[in-house]
This record gives sequence, C-alpha cells and structure tokens, in this order.
Amino acid sequence: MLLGLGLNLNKGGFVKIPYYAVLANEFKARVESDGGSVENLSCLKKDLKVLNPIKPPAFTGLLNDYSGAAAAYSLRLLDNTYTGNAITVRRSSDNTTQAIGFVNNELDTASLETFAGSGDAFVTTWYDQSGNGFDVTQTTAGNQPQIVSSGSTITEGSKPIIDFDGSNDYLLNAGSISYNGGVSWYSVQRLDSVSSTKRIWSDDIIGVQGYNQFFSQSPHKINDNGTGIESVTFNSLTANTRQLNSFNFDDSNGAYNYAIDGSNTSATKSGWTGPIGTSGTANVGIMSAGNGGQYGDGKLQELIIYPNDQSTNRTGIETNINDHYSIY
Amino acid sequence: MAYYTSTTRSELEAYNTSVVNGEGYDGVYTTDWASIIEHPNGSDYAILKHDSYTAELTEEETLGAEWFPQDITE
Repeated sequence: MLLGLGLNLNKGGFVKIPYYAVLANEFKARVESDGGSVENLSCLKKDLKVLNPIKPPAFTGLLNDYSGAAAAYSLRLLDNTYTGNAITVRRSSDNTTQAIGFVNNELDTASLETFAGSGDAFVTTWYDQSGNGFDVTQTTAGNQPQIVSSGSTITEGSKPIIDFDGSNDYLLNAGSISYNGGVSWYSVQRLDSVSSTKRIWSDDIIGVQGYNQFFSQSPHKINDNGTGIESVTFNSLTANTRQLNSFNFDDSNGAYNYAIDGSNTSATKSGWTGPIGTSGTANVGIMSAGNGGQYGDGKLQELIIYPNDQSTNRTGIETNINDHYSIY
Repeated sequence: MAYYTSTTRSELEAYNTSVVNGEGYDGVYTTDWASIIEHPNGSDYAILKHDSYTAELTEEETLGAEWFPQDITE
C-alpha cells in the first residue's frame, strides 16, 4: 500500500497505454479506498512497470493477421474487434434458444452446458466473424447440427465441434460470395465418411448452375465464367481423422493448391478460362448445397472463406490454425 | 432416422405442423420440424419422423438415393 502514496496525480492521458494505465487506475482506486492518495499517476505507472514488467500479449486473431475473409465461422474468436456471439443454440428440453459467446477467446462452453442442462443443444446460427454479416442459419429443427449431447459439449481434440449427421443437417445463408480473384478456404473437420457427393461447403443450389461445390472427396466443382462447371481434382480427406484442409484457387489462370494438414499439392486446372462465374442463383451451404442435399457427414470446428487466392498466406494461416487446434 | 412418406404432400405438411405445435418452437430461430422431401418422380413425398410424434402414415427406415437428385455438373 505504500507504493503510490505521496505521488502527485497527473491527470494527463495515460489512456494511450491501456494496460499499465488500467493497472495504475485500479491501484489508485484501491489505495484511495484504504484512505491513502496517489499524487502522481505517471510515477505509479512506472512503478508498476518495474514490479510487473511482463505485459500480457494482446490477443491477435487469425483475421487480424490475415484479413479480407468473405466469411469466417469458428468456435474460437478470430478477430479481436469482433464483439458478437459465436453461435445461437436451441436446447432439446424446451426448444428455447440462447446466444453463446466467447470466454478467453474460446466458445463459452460453461454457459452452453448450463443452458443445455442434461439434454442436447443444436446450432440454429453460426455467426460470421468476418464483419460481412454472412451468418449461416437453420430454422428447421430436424436439420440443425448438434453441439451438446446429453449435457456435454461435443469435442474433438478437447475443442468444441459441431456435428452434422450426414442425413439432413446443414446451415445456409441465402446469399452468394462476391469473388475477387479466386476463392480460398480453410477448414478443420473430423468426418464420419467421405464421398464425392458429400459437401464441405458450397455456393450453389442443386439443380442450378451455381458457383462452387467443395466436397470431401475429389473433385471440387467450380463455375468457369458461366460457361460450365470445371472439376478440380484433389486428395480426398480421411474419415474418422481430424484434419486441416486448405484450398487456394487463382481464377485468373486456374492455378490452385490443396493441402491436408499442411502437406501441399499444387496444380493448374487445364482448360480453365475464368474468372469464377457469378451469374445465376446460389446460396451458401455449410456441409451441403445451399438448398440442402449432398450433405457432409461429420463434424466441423472452423471454416474460413476468402474471395480470392490466399496462396501466399497459406502457410501462415495453417500455422495459426494448427497452433490452436494441434491437429498435426 | 426414419421417415414418413405419402403421395399427398398436405398430409406431411400437417405432420410438420403437429410437431411444430407440440414442440412450441420460437418461430424465429426455429420455425419447422422438417422439410418436405419431394421425390424426383414428382408424386412421392417424405418427411423426417420425430421420435415423439407418430402419424397414420407409411414409415420408411431410410430413403434411397433415388430420392435425392444430383446437381448439374458440367
């Protein structure tokens, strides 16, 4: 309590250095509550730096380092400026809903499990953290993916994960992505089965020539300038194994790379004209087509979509993801 | 995961309504129990069966691949 006593309070703006300014103000309040006084907040701040020299690093999310995503869905916080929730869930006990946010930059599983009680909880909304408001929703109960089972959060690698049943579960946004040079996406999933008809995500409606269809097994299908759908081959994902999947496509020349757990394969799509066709109608569907169908089978922790080629950032993005999830 | 099937779409819509009313969905985040699935033949329909609600409808344990159309691929 002696520290700070007898110092002059300088009202000049320490708010420019938030961490030590906050500490100094908190300390000043405590001293004054004990009947003391702080005469110089500047000196107090310097004293605190000496006593507590290790300033905790400010949180930096993946989207702070690699901005420009078209849509970003995760059960961790991806951007330190994002103030919204992660998901909204419906509980099985009475079908009421509650939004679930973040604690320490991770999904607030304590609030989630308190809300779910001993029952199940299903995701009605997965919020887009990109700032574009591209939230994905599911208002049909039987199609809502699950995140709590019998009172326990579903997890993979000790991290929460959303379970899509492979029969009819999916999330959608009734809009399409504005592509600007290609498309890139990064996902963390543990699939129960893989197939060339089981989608991870798509910007497409079954029965209409959409923009993109991305599957768990080769090939992906991308609209080539509205003239047709081009198939892009890749190494299939593996069932019953959590994997980090990345795909980066340059629609100016058809060059692409595809990586599973950081192991990269690069190629160029022959016959590609480009750019990605954006005429017609499509919805974004997560683990399905945008209007349902061709349902992905398994669990998804994170999906980040860029409207362009992110090849130059691929390693950095993968490292960020793997540092968090410890996949490989 | 079982389904009810019918050639009369309104029967399955009525089943969905009965589940919605029984479950008391909030009408905002959740509005329906399940979507009506239309067979590509245009005359058969199906809906996901809710474990807690039965109906005088034909029950199928699963739906075959023929129920689900493929997308345009080329």
